[in-house]
Amino acid sequence: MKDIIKSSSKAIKIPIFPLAIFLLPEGKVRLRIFEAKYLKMISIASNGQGFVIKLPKDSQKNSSATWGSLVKTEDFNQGEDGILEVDVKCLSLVKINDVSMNSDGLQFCNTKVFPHWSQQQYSQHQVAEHLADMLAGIMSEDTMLKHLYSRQLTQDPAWIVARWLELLPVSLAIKSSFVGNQDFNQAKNFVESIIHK
Amino acid sequence: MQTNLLCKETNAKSIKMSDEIDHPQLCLWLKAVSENRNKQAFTHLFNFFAPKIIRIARSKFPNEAQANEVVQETMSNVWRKAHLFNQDKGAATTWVYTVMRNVTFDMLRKVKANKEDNLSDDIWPIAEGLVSDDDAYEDHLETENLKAVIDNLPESQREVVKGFYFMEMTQEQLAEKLNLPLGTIKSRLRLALAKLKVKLGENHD
Repeated sequence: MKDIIKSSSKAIKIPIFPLAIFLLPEGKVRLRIFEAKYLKMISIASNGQGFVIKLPKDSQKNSSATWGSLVKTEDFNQGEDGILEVDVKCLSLVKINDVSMNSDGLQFCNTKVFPHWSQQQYSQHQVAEHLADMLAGIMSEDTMLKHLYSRQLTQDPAWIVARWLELLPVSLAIKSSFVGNQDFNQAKNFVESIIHK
Repeated sequence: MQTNLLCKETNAKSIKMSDEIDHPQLCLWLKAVSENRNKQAFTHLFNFFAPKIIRIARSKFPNEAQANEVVQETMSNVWRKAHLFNQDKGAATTWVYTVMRNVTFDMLRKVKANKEDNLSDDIWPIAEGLVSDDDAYEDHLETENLKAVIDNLPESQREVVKGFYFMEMTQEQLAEKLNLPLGTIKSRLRLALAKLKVKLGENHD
C-alpha cells in the first residue's frame, strides 16, 4: 500500500485536508485524524493519489494562486487514546482548482503540480554550515522530529532551508511568501538572518 | 474511535454559556488567587472551568482517567501560575485554555513516548479497521456534534482538538536551542520580517 503514489496531475480529484501548517516538499508531519470525513479521506488517499494539505485563505495572501502541499502517507499508528495517527510526507506543491464538496462535507480539488526551489539541487557551499549543524542538533533532540526524519537527514542546502522555514516561529502568511515570488536565495537569506552565531 | 462525544444538549448549553461569560469577574478571581492565594476565588474558577475542560479533554482522551488528569493538571497550573496571567494581553479564558493546551500536549507526548516501539506493520489491520465505511457512518452524527463544539472554541483551543503534533518552534524554544537570549531572537525576527516586508512590497509594485 505504501509507495504507490506516482503523479497527481491527472484529472482525478484529490481530497483536501484544511490545516494551518506550512509544509514544503520533503517536509513531514504527524497528523491525528478523528473526524469521520477525514478518516474517509485517509482511506481514499491510500488508493493512490494522496491528499492535499491546504492552508487557510488569509495565510495565502502573499502568493498568487491557491496552493497546497500534496502529501502521501508514510506510516500509520494508533495513539493510546484510540485516535488514528498518520505520518505524512509532502511530495510536491500543487495549485488548487475547481474545489467541490461531497455529501460528507469532504472537499475535493483538481491539482496541478508546480516546481518549487526546495526541490532543486544547489551546490554544497551555498548554505552556511551552521544552519545544517543546528538543524541536525534540533532534530536529534526532538523525539517527534527524530522519528520522522530518522533516515532522511541530508546536507542538501534546499532541504535545510526548507526545514528551517517550517520550524521557525513566523506567521503562515510570511512563510507562504516563500512559495510565491521568493526564490531559494531569498529564503536562505531570510533564514540566515535569524539563525546565525 | 471516540467514545465520549458530546450530546446535543450539552453542546447547546455550552454555546449559551459562552455568551454569558463574566470576563471581569474571571480576572478578579485570577488576581485574588495570584495575590492572596484566595481559595474561594480558586473554587469559583474551578467550578467555571472544570466542566468545560473535561468536555474538551474527553473528546481528546476517551479514557476518563486521562481527561480528569487534564483537568487536575490544568487547574493546579492555574493555581501555581496565576501571577503570570496578564489581563492586558488577553482574556482569562484564553489564558486558561492555553494552560490546558500545554498540559494536553505534554500528555500526548507522554502517550507517544510510550508508543515509540509500536510502529511495525501489525498496526495496519487496526488502521484499516478504523477507516471502514460502517465505522465512518456510525460516527458521523456524533462527529457533527463535536464539530459544532470545535467551531465555537477559541482558536488556541481548536488546535488542541483538531490535532496534529505541532512542530513549529516557539520563540522561547528557538532561543533555548540557539543558546541566545529571548530578546536577541525577538529582534532578529523583527529585523528579518521588516526586510522581507519591504521586499514583498517591492514585488507588488
